[in-house]
Amino acid sequence: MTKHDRRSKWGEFLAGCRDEAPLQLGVVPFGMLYGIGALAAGMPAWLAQLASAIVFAGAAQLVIVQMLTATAGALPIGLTASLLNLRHVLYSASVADHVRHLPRRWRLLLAYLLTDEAYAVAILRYQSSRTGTGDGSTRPSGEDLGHWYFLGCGFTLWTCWQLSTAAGLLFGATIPPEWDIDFAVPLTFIALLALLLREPTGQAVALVAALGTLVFAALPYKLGLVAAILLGLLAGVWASSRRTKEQGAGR
Amino acid sequence: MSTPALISLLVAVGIVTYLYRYSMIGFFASRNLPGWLHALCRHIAPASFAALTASALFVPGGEVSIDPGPGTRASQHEQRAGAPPPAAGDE
Repeated sequence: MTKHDRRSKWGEFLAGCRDEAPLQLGVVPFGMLYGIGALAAGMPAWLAQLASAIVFAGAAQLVIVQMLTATAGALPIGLTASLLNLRHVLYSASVADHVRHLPRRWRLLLAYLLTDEAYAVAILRYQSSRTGTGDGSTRPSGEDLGHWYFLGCGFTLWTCWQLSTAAGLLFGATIPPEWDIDFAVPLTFIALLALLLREPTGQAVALVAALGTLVFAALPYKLGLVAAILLGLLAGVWASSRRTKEQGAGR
Repeated sequence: MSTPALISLLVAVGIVTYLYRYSMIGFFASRNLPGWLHALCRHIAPASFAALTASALFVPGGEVSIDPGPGTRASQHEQRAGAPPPAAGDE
């Protein structure tokens, strides 16, 4: 490894950390909310902290805590959390092509870090570095260091999630109840969404998926979320094919 | 729920989640993504985050409820006061 390589890897890692950082404004109260809720649900503090490392998925952890408080059984809780996390299969497909050239240990590590927040930032970078390459079969130079950027995003989020969980566990009781930190959860997702809505097809997909969430809200075990995402994907395929046809007709 | 049962639950959810995250990365490590999936990938991020946002904002008791309810300090006080836990559905 040359000195230059080492510096650019470090540079990519730091760029990932830097781009992930603004999202932590929403992640910190989100993590604290989880820590506070976990104690309220009767979870031992050490286990609540460990769960942030084992499960490492904010929305699912909050649901587990909410359902524990409502004295739900292990099976419905496990099922709900598993279905809620199903979207990670899609994230995995989405980054698969970008990480396939990496050694297995890298793929195993990046899979662990593949959360909503890290995925959103990393995929934007991957997609923008590939613009204009058509079918994506050619790898532009510079993308070979994309995994360092991804690692920077994941590392930042992981660290922040663990620390904010700990803060919720340690200081949650001292936060006055009138401080409504629940706002943080939608805030985090809105920030992620805002990053992604630059092109019209993305806007159409988002609109359909959001409407789908309302339509399917009554489905059990958070299946509505999965159904809404799939509906959004269908809308995207339809919109893309229509645009391709229009471009073909305009020629 | 007892602590051992809770540990088992959390480990199970953690393993399932990790398998989701690795699934497609592992599967497509040695083969090409089919064209239709490649086309679909562009829409995954906007669809997912729009659904998560709408769910957090508008669905009552959505996966992340913004109303003070189960799991917040308000309910902790209720439980301390001996109030019954919130109903968990129709069962």
